Amino acid sequence: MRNFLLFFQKYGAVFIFMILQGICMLFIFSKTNPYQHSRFANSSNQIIGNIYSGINNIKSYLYLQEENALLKKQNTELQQKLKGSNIVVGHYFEKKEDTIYMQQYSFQSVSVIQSTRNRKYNFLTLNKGSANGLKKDMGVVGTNGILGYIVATSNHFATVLPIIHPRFELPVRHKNTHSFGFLSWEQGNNYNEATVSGIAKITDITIGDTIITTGGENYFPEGELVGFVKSKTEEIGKGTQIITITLAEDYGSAYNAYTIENIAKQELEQLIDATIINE
Amino acid sequence: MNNSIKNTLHFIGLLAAQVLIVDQIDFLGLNAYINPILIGAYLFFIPLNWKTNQLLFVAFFIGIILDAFHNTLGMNASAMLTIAFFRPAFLRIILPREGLASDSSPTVFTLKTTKFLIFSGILFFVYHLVYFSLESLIIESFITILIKAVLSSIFAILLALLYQYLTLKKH
Repeated sequence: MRNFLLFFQKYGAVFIFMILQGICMLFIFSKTNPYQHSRFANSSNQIIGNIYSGINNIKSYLYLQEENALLKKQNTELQQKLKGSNIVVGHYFEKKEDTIYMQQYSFQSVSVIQSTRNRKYNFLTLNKGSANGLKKDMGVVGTNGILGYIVATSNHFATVLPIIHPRFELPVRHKNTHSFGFLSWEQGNNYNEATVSGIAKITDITIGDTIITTGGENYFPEGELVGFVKSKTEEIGKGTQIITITLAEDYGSAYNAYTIENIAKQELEQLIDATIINE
Repeated sequence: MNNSIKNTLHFIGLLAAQVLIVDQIDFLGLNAYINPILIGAYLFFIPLNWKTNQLLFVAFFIGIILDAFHNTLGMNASAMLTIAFFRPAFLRIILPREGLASDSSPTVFTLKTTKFLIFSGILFFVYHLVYFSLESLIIESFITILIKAVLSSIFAILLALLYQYLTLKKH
């Protein structure tokens, strides 16, 4: 026993080092998503969220002019789309009652209070949370194009998994030919680039073409802008091509954004589940 | 001022410098390679007579706090633990022959500039090497990780020097 105690006295630090390192490794490797398991320590945590929103309050004054210009541009685009009708984007989700059209998506304006773009695991933090009706798996769209989807919420903050994260995946569509592809952020992609794979080799794609969302993946409505084709290479032996796109949204200056709730989500999921069972 | 209060203030100061200033700097588009993490500089303020056990727990706690800000749970904590564990060994290599008072801490003023640069160089290089290795998890080539670690360490050393010249009194 005495020997054991002496041994521990001599090498105790090694044990403590190894145990604490083990805890770190558990944190890093335990779950597939780096956000979910960090419920008690991530940026949608109340204290840290408040600090980041304080920083953002100061920073937002510096970019008022640019943001105003962007919002004006987006407003005119929206007005053109609506052909004279009005849209209310308030602080709470709006729901329209109509007998002919069913509203499938509802929007809510939020601010991006914190964003990173130069790490491997990037993320955004929003200034609203479950108290405002934000939930996991809601899409987030910036003023130029899509940003990502929500992965964790607290009462007043939410964390977003952006396109520029190795675990982001989304089916997308080439606008001109309607062919489906798969959007991901591969190694070697810059913070304003992403990769679309799985589009057939024979599909006619030219540089500068638009890539949009499909509307079938629950996060975004059909036709939200994702990015523009930058370059393409053939995948040898597979009959498909790999396309590098420039993202429409700049993660360095993302500030005003909208979250999207899919009201028909359950219906779509049930249908997809039923199809899988019938196979 | 009490030593533990001083240490806590240094921790808050370094965390604020990291989150409010260093994370906001744009390194002319080279941000993918230059990503200095300053929090390791906390070990420069810990007196030499601290037990390694004590130091390990403090390092783990500090790492987790920074991880919460960066959404990288475990990575900074792991890097922090590594440099805390090896700090006595590094110090043994670098310490002047006559030694320092056991209650003094290895800052730029007590170690003198050259020795401090070597000490902080080893410390920050190991920190960033561990951090970037965990971040990329074998996907990136070792050369890329090495370049990232060297570049980030250089900036971290400069920032740590600046922090010490701003906060410590030369006596």
